[in-house]
Amino acid sequence: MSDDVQWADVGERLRGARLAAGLSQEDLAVRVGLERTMIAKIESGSRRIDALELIRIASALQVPVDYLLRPAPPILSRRASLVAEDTGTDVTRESERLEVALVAWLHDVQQLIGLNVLQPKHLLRTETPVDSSAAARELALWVRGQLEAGTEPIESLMELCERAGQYVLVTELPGDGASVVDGDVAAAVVSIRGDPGRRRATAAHELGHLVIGDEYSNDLGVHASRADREAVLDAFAAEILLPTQVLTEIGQADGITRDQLIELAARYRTSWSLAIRQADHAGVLTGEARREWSRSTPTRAEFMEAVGWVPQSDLESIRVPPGYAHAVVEAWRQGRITATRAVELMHGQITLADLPVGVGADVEP
Amino acid sequence: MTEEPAVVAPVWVLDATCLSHFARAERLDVLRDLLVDKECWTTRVVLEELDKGVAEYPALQGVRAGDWLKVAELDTLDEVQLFASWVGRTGSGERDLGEASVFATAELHGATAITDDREAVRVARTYGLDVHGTIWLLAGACRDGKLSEPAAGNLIDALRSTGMRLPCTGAEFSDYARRYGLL
Repeated sequence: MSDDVQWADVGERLRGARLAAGLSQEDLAVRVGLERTMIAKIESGSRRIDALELIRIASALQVPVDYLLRPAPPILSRRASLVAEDTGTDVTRESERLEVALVAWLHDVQQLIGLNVLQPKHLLRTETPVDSSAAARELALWVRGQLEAGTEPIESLMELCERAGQYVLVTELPGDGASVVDGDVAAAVVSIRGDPGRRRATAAHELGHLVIGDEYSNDLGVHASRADREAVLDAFAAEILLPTQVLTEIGQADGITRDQLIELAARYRTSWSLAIRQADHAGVLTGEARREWSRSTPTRAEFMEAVGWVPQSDLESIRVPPGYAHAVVEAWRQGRITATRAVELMHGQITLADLPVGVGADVEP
Repeated sequence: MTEEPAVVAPVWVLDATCLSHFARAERLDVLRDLLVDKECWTTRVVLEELDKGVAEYPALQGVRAGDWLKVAELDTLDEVQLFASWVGRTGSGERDLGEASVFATAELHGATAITDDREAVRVARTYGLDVHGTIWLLAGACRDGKLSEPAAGNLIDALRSTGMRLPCTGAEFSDYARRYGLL
């Protein structure tokens, strides 16, 4: 590949990131102190950028510096070629911002794999087509079985996804979440907004995309054309979070009480609406109860009372998967990355002061 | 008759930590004289970092004004990519970016990098880079007879008075340098 072709790739990446940031060439030019024609030339690959310009451009576009220099995963570059300048609606822009966050996270995971401190897991995927909610529920139980989760509550969804080969980051995002598979690495991002129940549902949803074989998915809300697909994934996520069997066993004789359902929602850490949906699906709920309970979401105290006030932290203060976090600290201990970089890779889960003292205390002059 | 081999000056790449404190201590000329037999480089990224401090410390303008420093642009694709991979190791805070540019330049030239950020030194050495701090530089100058130990001590105190974080004081310099076999 000639040098020019590669600069053209950088230009294309820049253009995509610029559109995702909602900036015109003129806007970007002003922010980085270059002429608009220079931005046009950079995007067409006919002008190089130096390290300082790269820093300014990456900062203006809010992407890591290596983002513009690395090719997108093949599935995403195919999509990018379909995006035109004048179709920059809010939805496509948000979709691209989501993609930028996802790819930057994928690069973080790949960096640690490259440093040999993180071993990519075998990706848990099915060959069987999943085209109905019933099939999705069955698949969720298969996943639970493969990951030895039985029908127990999943303490850490991050950890479960990691064991399935999918690295999940909880971060600021325009949508709910997105996931991608690049070779033997699977990564997903989940929005920090909303309550923990919603984050867990999104993470389970992204796990579904991996398992049923989607190479790329973004969840910015349900598009009409994708409603069926989303219903399948919702069923998968619900069954991962709170298996129907658990409700059937409790409610088989006389149906389930509101207190019992509150306790299940608290122990399995699902949203109240998901618990009601699953109870409905299990057939342990009368139509009247469903209508009435849907209108009265239990209070936080009711949920906490049900689990004896034990704090539950998954996807609340946790931002990155446990194995990934360990790999970051290991890379830092081995002197492969600085403390500052380790903190960056932890995405807000720790600060500099949280790193163990004593590492690198005696550096020769 | 045998031809004399051409003498190639060692190449050193200086980071903002070293340059800024020599400038602020008004000893940039001393640094230049100590390094007269070296080919000295810094980077455009480092100069930009220093420029941002000029309003508070006008003496920093002296770094750009000097013609003894070559400036690495890092503008080929390979160079920019090497820079980005160093950013992946140092981090992307302003100082980290300067260090990454210095390490990339040092790697490209097979040069010695000079920085006083111990964490950055530790990481750069893991990747096989020859990297040292100001104390090592001064001890070398003492060994070469360019600087007396008391003069080095005075210089260290002048640098420390500008807030530079160095592993020893002027008074401790001789002991410290001997402990590490530098003198």
